[in-house]
Amino acid sequence: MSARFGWKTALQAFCLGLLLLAPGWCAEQEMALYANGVRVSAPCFVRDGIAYVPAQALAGALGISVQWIADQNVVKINGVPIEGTPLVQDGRVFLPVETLARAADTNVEWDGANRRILLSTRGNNASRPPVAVSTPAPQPAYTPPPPDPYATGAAPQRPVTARGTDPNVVSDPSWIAPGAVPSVAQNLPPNMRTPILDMSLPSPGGPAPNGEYVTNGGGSAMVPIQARSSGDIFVPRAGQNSIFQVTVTNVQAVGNIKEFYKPRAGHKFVVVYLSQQNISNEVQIYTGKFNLQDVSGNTYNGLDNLSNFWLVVLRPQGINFGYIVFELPLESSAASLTLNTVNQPPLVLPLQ
Amino acid sequence: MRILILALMAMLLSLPARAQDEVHFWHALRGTRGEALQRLVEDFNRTHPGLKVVAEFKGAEQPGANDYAALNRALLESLALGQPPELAQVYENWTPQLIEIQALTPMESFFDQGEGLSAGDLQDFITVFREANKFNGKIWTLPFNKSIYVLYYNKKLLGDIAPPRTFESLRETARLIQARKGVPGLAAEPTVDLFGHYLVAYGGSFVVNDRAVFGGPLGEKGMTYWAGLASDKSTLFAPDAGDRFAAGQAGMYIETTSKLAGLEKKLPDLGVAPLPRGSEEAVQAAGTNLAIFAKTPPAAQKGAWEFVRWVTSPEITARWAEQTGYLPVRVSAARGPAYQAFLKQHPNYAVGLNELSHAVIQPRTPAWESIRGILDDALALSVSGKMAPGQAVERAMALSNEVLSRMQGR
Repeated sequence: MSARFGWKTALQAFCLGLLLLAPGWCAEQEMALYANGVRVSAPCFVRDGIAYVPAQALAGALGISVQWIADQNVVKINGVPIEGTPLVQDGRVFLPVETLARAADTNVEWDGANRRILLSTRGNNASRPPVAVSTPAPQPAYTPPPPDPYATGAAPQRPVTARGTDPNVVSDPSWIAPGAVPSVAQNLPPNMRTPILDMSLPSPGGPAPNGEYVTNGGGSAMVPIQARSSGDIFVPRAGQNSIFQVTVTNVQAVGNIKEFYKPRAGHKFVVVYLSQQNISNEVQIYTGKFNLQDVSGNTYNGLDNLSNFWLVVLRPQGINFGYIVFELPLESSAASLTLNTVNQPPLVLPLQ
Repeated sequence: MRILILALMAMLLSLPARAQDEVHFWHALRGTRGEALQRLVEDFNRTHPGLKVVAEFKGAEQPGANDYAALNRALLESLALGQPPELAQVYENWTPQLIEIQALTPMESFFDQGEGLSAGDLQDFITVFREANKFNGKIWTLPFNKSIYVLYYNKKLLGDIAPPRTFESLRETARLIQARKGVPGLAAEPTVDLFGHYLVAYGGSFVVNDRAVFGGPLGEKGMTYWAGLASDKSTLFAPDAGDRFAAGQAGMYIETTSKLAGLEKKLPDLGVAPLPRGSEEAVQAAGTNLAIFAKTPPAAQKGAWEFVRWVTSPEITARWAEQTGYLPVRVSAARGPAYQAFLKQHPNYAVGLNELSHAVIQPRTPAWESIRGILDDALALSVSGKMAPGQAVERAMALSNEVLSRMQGR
């Protein structure tokens, strides 16, 4: 059981503890950052005995706005310029945890036993998430009905050809990389911790021409063009009804898709990376249609030919994941994602 | 109680009556192909008194969007609501799930009904197409609008340059055309299918036993090949590659035979050559099949079967092929005097037909459409130089395996 301190005491202990480490980036397995009970995957580091935390990455989870005026190198939290100079590394803005906590009116706790920095908005009870990763509650077993035509070996990718042979042979599958999946951290509340599957690519980040911070994403076929007004790292979020859990792992505003596809004049593409899991005990034939609402309350349908979220029948626990592309006016931004299914009320996920 | 029953009866009677033998045929064919289908349906209705097929376009609202994604969505939604059509186009990778949720009446259950389909008739279907419609030893669907990839070329632009026969010479030829004519030697839509052409031609596969197997040295080599063509500047990768080729702005173009009729209209100097070969001859086939849906009126299902039998008959499949560029699905149709006479007049149509001896069907797993998207991205990343081809393929492998394992549920 680690002791609870006020933030000042905690920080002293925290910084002292970290001084024992080599200066530089804190390895993820050595220290973790939590905001209101949600794991934040962005890195933090210690320099000259001061712990720095990624300001924009914390914005969403702490419910604060963080704005970096690049040409002045000034950070505003909730619209108020903070004292001192932020550190900028690889396009990310870092603040001393003490500065951020004061400006954001946030509690800080150093959980030394588990090597975790716990930040929480005052009055938030979720500041101390359980350490162990929870496993989903056991559910009654589901037996898929026979026959199962795409079970192992039943559907050769190269079926018998007119040559009369099945060339469907792999001599050495040993080079298949085991589980090498790019994924975001498991930073959802424990009750929503289904496997997080994410098709987005890591971001180089960097300031945008208008002086705002560029949102994450990019470095990929999809290049971000515009920042959200606050917060650089999208914090994964999930919502569920009795049938589906929907997890949005990333949202990117991009100027084109794969360089070939451009939005109409005055528009941008917004790419929503998501997964959808059947958490019921029934096979779900139709998994519904997602649409996006912007800050002005307009609703947008996904663009099928640019998206990769193909509808499939989902067995219990089955997960579909991919991304859906929407086209929004340049000045607008995504406010929420809604799943409309048959026989269920709409499932709405706030994106801001 | 009696009043309640009367009220219920009145409600039921007030619902729009649905003709018990009307066949609703959901499809995603637009343009030249949609018109040809409409003519086919009108012919069937004229020659089959008492039966009525209604072709209903369920593709996307806007041209240029993904028509088959819209059809897939419409089908799944209709099934969830218990209101499926009697007949629809389906890809091989959609069928396993439709079987699992008991949405289909197996096609072979109609083979002994009406005029039926004999064992000899079934043998007459082109082997690769027939086998692709077989799941657990049963014929669930039958092939309809099937096509295969070919190499289109502009005879005028190529001049005395021979169409390439291997992937090595494809690259050389593209450079040569670029050097001589100042236009891209090759134009292609940047999709997974390009990656697939090289993969299957060198003996590779996409998915085996629910594992992605398209990576490794061959996958990297294949992706590097297409990235190389992009860096040569001899090849144009663009979504509108077909339009540019049709406008005479590129020497060669890789697409399926389904575009043949449309391209011939726009480009009088159109030539068609077999897709280049790798270490072996293997070419990807494409196109959908016909499925009859259970839980629809039996009389209408029987009508749907009559339409399927008719439309896949040697005479009609040959006519369909002549009007669209799709391939006849029956051997006797391909060899019949009428179609052979047509081929003499239109030699371009014979090329795809000859490739059928080494046709390869893409994976039939429900995860395939997602994997296609993942590989589309990998190809785009590679040809645009944003990611090393090997890295892009391995990333696609990892994501695909995640899709393959997660989608299954339990």
